[in-house]
Amino acid sequence: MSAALPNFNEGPLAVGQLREDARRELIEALDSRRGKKVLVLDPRVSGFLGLLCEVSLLKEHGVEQLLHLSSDALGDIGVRNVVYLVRARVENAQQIAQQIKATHREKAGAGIEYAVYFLPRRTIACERIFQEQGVYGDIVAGELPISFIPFDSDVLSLEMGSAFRELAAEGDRSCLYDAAKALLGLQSALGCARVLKGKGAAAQAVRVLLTRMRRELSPDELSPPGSGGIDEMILLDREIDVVTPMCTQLTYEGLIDETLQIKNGSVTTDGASGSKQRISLNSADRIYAELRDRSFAAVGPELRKRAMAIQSDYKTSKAAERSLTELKEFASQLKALPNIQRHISLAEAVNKAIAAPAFRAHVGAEQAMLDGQSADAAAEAIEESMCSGEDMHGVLRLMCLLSLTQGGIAKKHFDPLRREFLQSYGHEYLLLLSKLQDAGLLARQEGKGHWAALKRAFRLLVDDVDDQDPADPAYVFSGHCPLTVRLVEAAVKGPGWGVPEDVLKLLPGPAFEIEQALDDKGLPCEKPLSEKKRAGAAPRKRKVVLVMFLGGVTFAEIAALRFISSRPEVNCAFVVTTTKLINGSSLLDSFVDDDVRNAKAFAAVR
Amino acid sequence: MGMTGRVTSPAGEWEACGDRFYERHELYTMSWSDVRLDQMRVACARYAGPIAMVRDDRKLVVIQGAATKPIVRVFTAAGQALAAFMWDRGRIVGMGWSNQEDLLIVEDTGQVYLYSMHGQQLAGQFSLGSEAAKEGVLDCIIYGDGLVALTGEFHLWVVSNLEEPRPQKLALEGLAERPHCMAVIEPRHTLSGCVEVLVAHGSTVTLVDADAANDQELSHGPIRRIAVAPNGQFLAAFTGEGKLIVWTADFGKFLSEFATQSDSPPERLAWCGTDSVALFWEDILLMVGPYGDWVKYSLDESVELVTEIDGVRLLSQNRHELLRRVPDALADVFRIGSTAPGALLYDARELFDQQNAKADEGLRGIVQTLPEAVATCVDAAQAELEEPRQVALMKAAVYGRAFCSADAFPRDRIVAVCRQLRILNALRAPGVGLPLTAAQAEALTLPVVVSRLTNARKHWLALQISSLLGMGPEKVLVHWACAKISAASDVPDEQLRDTVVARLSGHPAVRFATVAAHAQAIGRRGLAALLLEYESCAAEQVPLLLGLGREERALGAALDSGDADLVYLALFRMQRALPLQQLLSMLAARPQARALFAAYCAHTEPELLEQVNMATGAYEAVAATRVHEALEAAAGAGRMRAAGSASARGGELAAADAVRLLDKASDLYFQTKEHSFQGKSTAELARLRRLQTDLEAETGNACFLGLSLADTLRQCISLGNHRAAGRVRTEFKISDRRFWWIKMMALVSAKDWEGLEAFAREKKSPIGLDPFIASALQAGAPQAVLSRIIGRLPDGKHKAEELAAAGLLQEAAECAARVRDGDMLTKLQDMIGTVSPLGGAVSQLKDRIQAGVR
Repeated sequence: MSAALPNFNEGPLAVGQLREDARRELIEALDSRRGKKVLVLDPRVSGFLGLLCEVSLLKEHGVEQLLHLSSDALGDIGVRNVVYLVRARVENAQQIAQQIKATHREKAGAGIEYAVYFLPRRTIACERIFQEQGVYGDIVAGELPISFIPFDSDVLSLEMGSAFRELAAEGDRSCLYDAAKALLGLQSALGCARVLKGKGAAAQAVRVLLTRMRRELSPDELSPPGSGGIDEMILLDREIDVVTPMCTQLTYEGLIDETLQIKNGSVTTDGASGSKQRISLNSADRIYAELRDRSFAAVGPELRKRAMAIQSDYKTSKAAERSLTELKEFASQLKALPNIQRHISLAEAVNKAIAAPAFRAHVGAEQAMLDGQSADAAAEAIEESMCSGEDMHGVLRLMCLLSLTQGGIAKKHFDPLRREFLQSYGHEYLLLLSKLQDAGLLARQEGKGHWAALKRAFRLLVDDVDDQDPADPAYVFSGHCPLTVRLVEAAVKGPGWGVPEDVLKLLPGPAFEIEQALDDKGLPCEKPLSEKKRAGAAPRKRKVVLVMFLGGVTFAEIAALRFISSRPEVNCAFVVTTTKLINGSSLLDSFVDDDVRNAKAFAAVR
Repeated sequence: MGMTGRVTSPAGEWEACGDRFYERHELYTMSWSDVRLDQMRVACARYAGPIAMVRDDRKLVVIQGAATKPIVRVFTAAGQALAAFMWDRGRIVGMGWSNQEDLLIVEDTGQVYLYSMHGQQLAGQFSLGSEAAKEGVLDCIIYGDGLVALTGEFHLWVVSNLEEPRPQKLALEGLAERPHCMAVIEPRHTLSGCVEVLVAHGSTVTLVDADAANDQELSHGPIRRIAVAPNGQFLAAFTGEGKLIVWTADFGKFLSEFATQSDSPPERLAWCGTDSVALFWEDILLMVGPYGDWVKYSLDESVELVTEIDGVRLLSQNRHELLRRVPDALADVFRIGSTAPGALLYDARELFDQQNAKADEGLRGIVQTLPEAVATCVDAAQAELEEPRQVALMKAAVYGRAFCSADAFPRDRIVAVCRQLRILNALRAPGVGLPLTAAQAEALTLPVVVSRLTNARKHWLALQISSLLGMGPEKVLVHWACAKISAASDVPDEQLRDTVVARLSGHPAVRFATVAAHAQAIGRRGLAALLLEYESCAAEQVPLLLGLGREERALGAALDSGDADLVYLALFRMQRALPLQQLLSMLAARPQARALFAAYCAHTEPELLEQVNMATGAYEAVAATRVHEALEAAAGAGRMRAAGSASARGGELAAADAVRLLDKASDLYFQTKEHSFQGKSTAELARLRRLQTDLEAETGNACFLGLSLADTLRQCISLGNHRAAGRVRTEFKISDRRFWWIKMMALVSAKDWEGLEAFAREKKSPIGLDPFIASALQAGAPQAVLSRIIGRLPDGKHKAEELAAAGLLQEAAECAARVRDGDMLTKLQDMIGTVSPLGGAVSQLKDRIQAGVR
């Protein structure tokens, strides 16, 4: 199945331009080295590269071979040019230096020319590594200013998978600089939002950086506020709501991600004849576009209905009695049939995974915790899931969820649960548990926590959700609405944040609402929101709101935001931007160090 | 409108060459007085830029007096002195100007020096490398972006980017003698985007680039002179047979040939624009047009030829001239006997100015073609170099335009051309000395002209022009400030700062850092620091603060900017400049910076980081490092074990290493109370690894090391080694519940049904029987096994349901009957249907219950 591209310009913003720009940058980088070349890729880059360009395009620009970054000698590559595309990280620079040195040792004077392109910019730390390792003179270093990768017409990601870990656990805010730079570029390309709101420490930091960067722009790069397609920008720190990613998403797209893992906009399933099949999941597939955000419970019946409709059409019709136009329409319906069947088999694969008792037990435990069941019962459920061999991420998600909903894990359960976790999945994960504690995802109970208050204040739990025809975004978690979504919902209705101040204070980090403006000298500045703007007086035009999730966003949250924008009482369209598309498991996995993975990989085979 | 003096037609001075005309226009009478041009090595910048010269040691001259050191002198195109400096370095083999109008001087050792047009040495000098130094550089061609050098053993080296000079060797090999001549095709004109060099040797020419040298296999005798047209499309060569031959630049197409009837090659050969070639012998200048037409000029002095895109400049001791093809519009208007609409319009205007009634007649004659006539006059004015003629032509255009319909000719264009002419005339003034034609100015673009003026320290004019063009004045202002600072060495810091700030503030895009950097470079560090306080951009500010030795302030600014890269810049500089203790105490108060430093050190200098952590009592960080090392050792051990028995010993050692590291980690964790859990866990892991090693030795089966505790237990059970399992259980105090779960799951996954049954029978299960049933069912246990395990449940609804779920419908029905559960039986009936024998039996059972109830 060829990777069909969504129409990037049919959304609220014409984001296709971003993809074109990124492609152009990439091609320029490739063309900067003459002749045939080997392309060496950082795994953090190779994933999304496929979203920007096709292999054939790389070939057209002289790429003979693709390699993954490693520190081993290059071997017999048969060409003189080697181009590295890597994130600007110290460990990448080290690997490159080691590889070049190893290659020199094996083949002195092979005359290979090395070009290193750093994303999104070259850094002093990396260049210093090259200097210290004595390869600086062998390398032509450049930068590839690729920031937002469009995943769909309303979803952009920076693909910085470790952003949450760095922010929450390591106090490393460097990713926020790149995020602010990316938002600055986005605003330059697509228009500067007048209204800027944000909540959480990371959001506040980005706001400060953004204003600073706007002031440093030269006058010709500056786009005046309110000049383009973006009306409002909302920055959300993932740390204000970590409960949501810990829960199992129950939309079609969310469940595909939870059970089969969506990677770079596509999923790999077992095809008919045991072969692997890659299916692109985006709005280019009209059926998927309609079903992706619906509750999975509604997807099966819907697919069946569609398939039946076509078949019954086929049976009841007598071709001879049809007009040509009718026939044409019918034929196009028939063309949709294989796609429907593909979705039926995809839904079956999901269904198989969620029919397992372990899955049902997991979701049950999750909902009991959200409801606020007793700590003992929750601990017992977690213990049981460890014993019955649920996968590590699932168990960890439950542990974090317990900790987050109860203001920490009760003292009497904290050590035993952690100990049992290590004994079940390997003591290697000790450092993972420490990191999660640093990030505040796991904690020993101190006080009661805010979950109960937040639940009430934001009406996070909703009874009687209609899966088929929901009236509330809570359907995405079957009765639990993500807090981020409630916050955005309130903020677009206004005035201001639309939430009482004391409620907002329950969440960590500062909240702000400002106007990105120009001062009397024409210099960019911040102003307090005018009362009129604060009220967000119902504009005649549909408002375009860009929501930035700093630290990652789940498919369920995107679905819920799309649901809100479809409601008649909300006259706005959302564009979701994020540092990374995540689910609970991938978020927790970003806390696992590579050496832990290696050690586990080489354990005795059981 | 007043009468103007009659403007003469220039046509009398034109020379016809085929159907075209050429004109020689005197730009300047040179204002220098003491220059012997014929004894000099001369380098003229393109686009009417400055002229540099130095005594040419290839020419034999009598040196007068004792001045043995040559002097490099720089002039404007009008001959006004810009700079002169003594050259006390090595032999000069090449001299030329970059696109930025920096003067490059190449020594025979391959050293390249850069100077400003004002004679200041600039940073960025570089060498062509050791190979070039060894062989010595014979010759060098400098083009706008780079240079090509020929070395003693006839190799070519190219530097294609002067900003980041990286000498690259071209693929020229095996040349036995020095080439007759060379020429460069600039990268912007080549297909490959890389520089190509034409090397004439023997009787042929070789086209050389980085990858290949292609002999063009010519047979025209030795080629003595070669030149590439300014558009890079054509090349002209003077052959040993005395012919001038023109090809397309890739030698793909032969274009023309002209026999000069001269055996000796011309002193100079240069393109005049892109369509004709100028050749110079002692006192003759021969210009050959594209169709073999030619013009011969006799000269009374030697000239340098400088190719421009629309002509060639002739520079001599006394004069600076431009020889160019007369632009079409000018030819249309002034050609003798021209009847082009433009010419008629021009005549009409002249008559009008003489108040001659025939003017109207003339105008009427061209009424149909009036817009064309206006356009011609405007174009001609734009191309004209003499101001009175420009005025006359513009007047003619305006006169004609008045009779055109409103949209027939854009008024804007007239305004734009007037503005451009004002600028060009100002530039051409001898005091400025930039004799650009309109075509050159358009090719160069006016913003570049402004920056050249700025470089030439004509700040006032540059500001005027940039405001006329609506460009920001920032760059000019910054340059002015730098020049001001250089020139005011006796003004105190504060006063100078006030002068500069007063002029520069209010322009948001002004970079104070650039000015500060300049102040620092000329040794005024105090002033630099004062100016830096006005800089808002951290990326500009931080490096300079560091350069001024203000590390702490720099680190603060870097942290404020949120740019980790700047923080690293500050940290690296501080690491070099400060004692470690001072650096650490500075970091102690700045957790962000400390975290970044630690992250970098973790990769590059783990020992240093550890030292710091131990000193600050961060034992858990050191412990974590030990754990990481242990993990790496474990991975290594696993890799060696997987590789086979040959490396088994290495694997053992690595595994033992890992355990030792874990012990260390545990000790470190126990240093602080809050990390006791980590301490216990690492100790437990070490214990587990030891036990696993023992188990492998006992069983002779390398299947334990690296497993988790639960998996170890599972492994024992699935190997049937219950003694070992017992040992693991007691040694790690595994609770009954957990033990039961693990053993049960292990038996199920090994499909050891017999064992599972036996285990289910073994005393009372602390986890009940439900997990047994559920797991066995999911793993596809035989029905008999399921039946027996479920059979151990007490009779009741639950048992009946489990039986039904396991597909044991009859037993389910019997059980339901025993406890008289009618509902259950109905449910079963639904599942079975009534037609089968089993269905009949169930119906009977149900009837019996109902009978009993009654």
